Amino acid sequence: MSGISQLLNAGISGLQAALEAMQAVSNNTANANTPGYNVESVQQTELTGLSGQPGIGTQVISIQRAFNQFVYQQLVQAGSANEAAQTTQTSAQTLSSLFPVASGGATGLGSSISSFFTAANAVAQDPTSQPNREVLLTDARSLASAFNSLGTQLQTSVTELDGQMNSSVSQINELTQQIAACNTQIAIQTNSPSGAPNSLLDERDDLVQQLGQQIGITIDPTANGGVDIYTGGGAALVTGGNSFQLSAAPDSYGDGTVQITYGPTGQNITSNLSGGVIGGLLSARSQMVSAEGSIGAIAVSLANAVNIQQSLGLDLNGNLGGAIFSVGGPTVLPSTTNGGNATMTASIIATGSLTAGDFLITKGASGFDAVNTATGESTALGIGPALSFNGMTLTVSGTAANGDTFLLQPTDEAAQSFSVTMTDPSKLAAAAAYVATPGSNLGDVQATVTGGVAASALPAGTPVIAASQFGQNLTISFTSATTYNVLSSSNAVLASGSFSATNGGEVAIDYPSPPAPSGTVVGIALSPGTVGAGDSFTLTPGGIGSNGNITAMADMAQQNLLSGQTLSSAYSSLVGTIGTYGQGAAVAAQAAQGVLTQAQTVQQSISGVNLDQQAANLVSYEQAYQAAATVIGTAQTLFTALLAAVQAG
Amino acid sequence: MQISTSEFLLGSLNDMLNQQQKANTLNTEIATGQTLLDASDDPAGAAKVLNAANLISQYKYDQSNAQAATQSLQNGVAALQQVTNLLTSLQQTALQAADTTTTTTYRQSLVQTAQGALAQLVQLANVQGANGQYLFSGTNAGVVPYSMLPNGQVVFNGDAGTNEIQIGPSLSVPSSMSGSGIFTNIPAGVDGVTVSADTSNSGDGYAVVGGITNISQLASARLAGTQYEISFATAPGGSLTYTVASGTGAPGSSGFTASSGIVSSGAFNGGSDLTFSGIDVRISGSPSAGDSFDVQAGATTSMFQTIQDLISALQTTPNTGNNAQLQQQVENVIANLTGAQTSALSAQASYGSSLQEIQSVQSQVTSLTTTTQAQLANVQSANLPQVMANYSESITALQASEEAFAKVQGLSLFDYIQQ
Repeated sequence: MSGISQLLNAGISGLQAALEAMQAVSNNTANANTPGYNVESVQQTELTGLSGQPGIGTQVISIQRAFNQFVYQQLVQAGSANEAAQTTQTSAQTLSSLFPVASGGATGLGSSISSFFTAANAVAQDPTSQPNREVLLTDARSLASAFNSLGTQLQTSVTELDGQMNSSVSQINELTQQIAACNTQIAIQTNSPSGAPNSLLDERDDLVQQLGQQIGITIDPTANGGVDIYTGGGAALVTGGNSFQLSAAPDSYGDGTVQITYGPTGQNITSNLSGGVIGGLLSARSQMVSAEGSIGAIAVSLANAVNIQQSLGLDLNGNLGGAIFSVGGPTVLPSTTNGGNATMTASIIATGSLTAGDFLITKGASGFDAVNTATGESTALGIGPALSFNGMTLTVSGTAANGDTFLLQPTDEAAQSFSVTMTDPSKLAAAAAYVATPGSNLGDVQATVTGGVAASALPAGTPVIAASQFGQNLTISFTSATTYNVLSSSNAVLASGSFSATNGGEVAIDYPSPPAPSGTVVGIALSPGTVGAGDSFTLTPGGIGSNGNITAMADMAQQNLLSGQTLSSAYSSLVGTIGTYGQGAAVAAQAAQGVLTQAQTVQQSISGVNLDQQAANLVSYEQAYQAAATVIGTAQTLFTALLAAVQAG
Repeated sequence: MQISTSEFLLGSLNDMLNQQQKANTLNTEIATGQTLLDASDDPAGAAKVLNAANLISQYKYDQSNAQAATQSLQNGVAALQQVTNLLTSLQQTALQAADTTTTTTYRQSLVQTAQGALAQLVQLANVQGANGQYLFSGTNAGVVPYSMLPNGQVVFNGDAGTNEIQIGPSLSVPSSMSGSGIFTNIPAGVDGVTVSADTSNSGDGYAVVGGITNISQLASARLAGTQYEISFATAPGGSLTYTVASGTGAPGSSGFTASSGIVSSGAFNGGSDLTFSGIDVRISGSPSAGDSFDVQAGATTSMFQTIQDLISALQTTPNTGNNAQLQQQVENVIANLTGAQTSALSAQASYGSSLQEIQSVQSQVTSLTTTTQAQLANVQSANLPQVMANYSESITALQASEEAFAKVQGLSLFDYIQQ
């Protein structure tokens, strides 16, 4: 009696188990392409019978998802690194496309710089040619627009990156909230008799993976199936059912740069973040800002050098030349959190010592310190009020409290603000300030005029003609073999000097300042040689055919104007740096993609759905079901036979 | 190892996308003929390409400068050649002026020739370059360098400033010139030593500078502004003696006498050279007692003045007897013409050597350009046969992976277990 019912019961348990297993298969196949889905399988055990007896059937004890915590975490990390690398690479591609090298960089800023100097050179060939002068101004304008568009594009890219950072932070906040909510639900359900909440776990783990794509995280599994999540720097984003917000907001210097602060403490944690979209964006942004600064440094050096040279020569009207270019100076922004009332201004005094990059200036107990925001290198500046730093003079007014900070951006705005102020080509100062013409001299002394000499470089005792006398005809007249007077155009003696047959002599004429930088003079070198009393040299302002000054300007293309480099080589090395960054980013992106693919393969080999496998399982469960059904049929037949026997008996 | 179905499909898709990207890159390389299209393709190469392009553009303007300088210097040399020819023909005229048998009518026609030559010389000195600017005005390019005043005097309005222009790496040559030192402000006589006869001389002697015997002695005399007076007197025996006195003022003036000192003296033998203070003065003809000659050590003149002196010599009608003054005048003109020749020729030589320098530097710059262009091409240009081969390779690979995908994605066990 118990035999038949046992047969029946065992058959029914088999039927149920096979059905449940087929449901699992059907769920697996349905979710074959669902992101974050972990393949599920039925855990079946035998229902044990009495000892010495067969078992009494089967039962499904749980539906288990194929999940490996270690492999999963590898996947999250790989995803995080990959997202960072891809974001960086996209941005690096944008950056390097702004610095074209195709056809020798013909469409890049470098070629605009060469064109400008080529035009200056054409003016040097024929300073009287109006068309040549026009070409120079046109090329100056193209150069300005090349600087402007490059500066603007870099700034736009930075703004875009900041925008992406904002939206990434909102996503992070959204995700951490959802993860915390999942954690709460999982904690409730995880100990329920119906088994682990597989779908919730899948959903939570998928959310964590998405979070990892936005920001580098560490995952800490807790009891009750929950996970705690921290940023790379250790700030908790999720603990159990609680989530903590990040916020993206402009920094305290008011320059629009977005920084990320930690909600609970309000602390700026930007520098501690890495990985994920955020990490990629931060790296890309610092590269963009650095490129902006480097381009700015080139713009400032070029504009300053050309404008100074202009002020040392004469234009077609015989006046000292005015500025060709205008360029914005450095900015110093005080933090809104400063306790003191100090303000700071900066001006560039020596473009040669200028280095690109932004600096954070902090007031400490022993004075101000400047820290390069890119490299972290720190320089002590002293207590002020005038601080000398990297070719700049910083002027502090007011009182700074200890801990007050200022953001110094030496050249960030320069490329965008670079413009041409000269409109009249005849105002281009091509001519030398003075030329010397010897009189009917008895001796063989030669006079060589050099514009723009530093007064400090002159030999001691050199007679210097005051700037107020500049512009008139002057005469150097030898009163004896060893002495000379410098006469004004009305033959008044302005200065006297001494001459030596072996060392020659020197006369200087001070430039009016402004426009010329103070301390610059026209140097007239008298070569060593013989002199007769009455020998003379007439100094007259360079005529319209003189190219003395424009030659010096054209020659700037070959001068080391910026940190020991010519402007062109500074540009080439910048492009090299950007290229290296781009190449590094591309290699990193490829490597990260490889690592991710590997991690995915490993994870999928454990948790993925293989449809062939499911088909085979289906067949197997179908057969089990059919077999169990046959058992039930058999039990029924046995039972019917028994009943018939009983009725017949 | 089990592979999930979606992973398998995704993997194949990624493979195909990679192949497509590779084919696309190669396609761009074929279309542009360049492999280095983005700095990140080859950062070191990118910097090299930009530096090379910059060098090439510098060489280009070196070349263009060389052409401009060549043109300007050639114009100058051409003008100076004509000046030399002009001066040579004037030498003939001067000799004819010295010839007292030349008829007055012929002298007048020679005056006209000389006047024509003067006008021509002014024209040559005022020659303009292709850009309409005066070649010899120094930096005052817009001003006529030499203008003739109503009194016939020619004045220089320019300055001595000359332009230099770069024709090669750190190498500049003069690209313009000034007439000062070529047409004007040139040493008079022989190396600046001139002789003039006192207007009251009664003998028929005239003096020429035979040469310089001691350059350094002359140089110090010149710097000191020393002038000399050669005077002749009759010795007690009736023979002729000479005395050379030196001083710093003009001979004959009180300043001169005050500082005078006898530098040389002795008996005068006709036709002999007097040598003093490094100067050799030859007295031709027979001076009389009481005659004197002034010798100046550092005098300058201009080509224009020399021609004017020639004209005035031509306008002098020779006496039937003593023509010592005219002889003296013509000898001075001949010495000055020779000095003018020297000036024009040395200017030509100096421009010629600049031209030669330009030519040799230009060929160097050309070969530098070629080398740099080759370097640039080496880094940037695509090796087309290689790229084409790679391209067809990658297209083949792409096709193969597409076909494989098409076949494999059709395989599913479910297809076979359907009833």
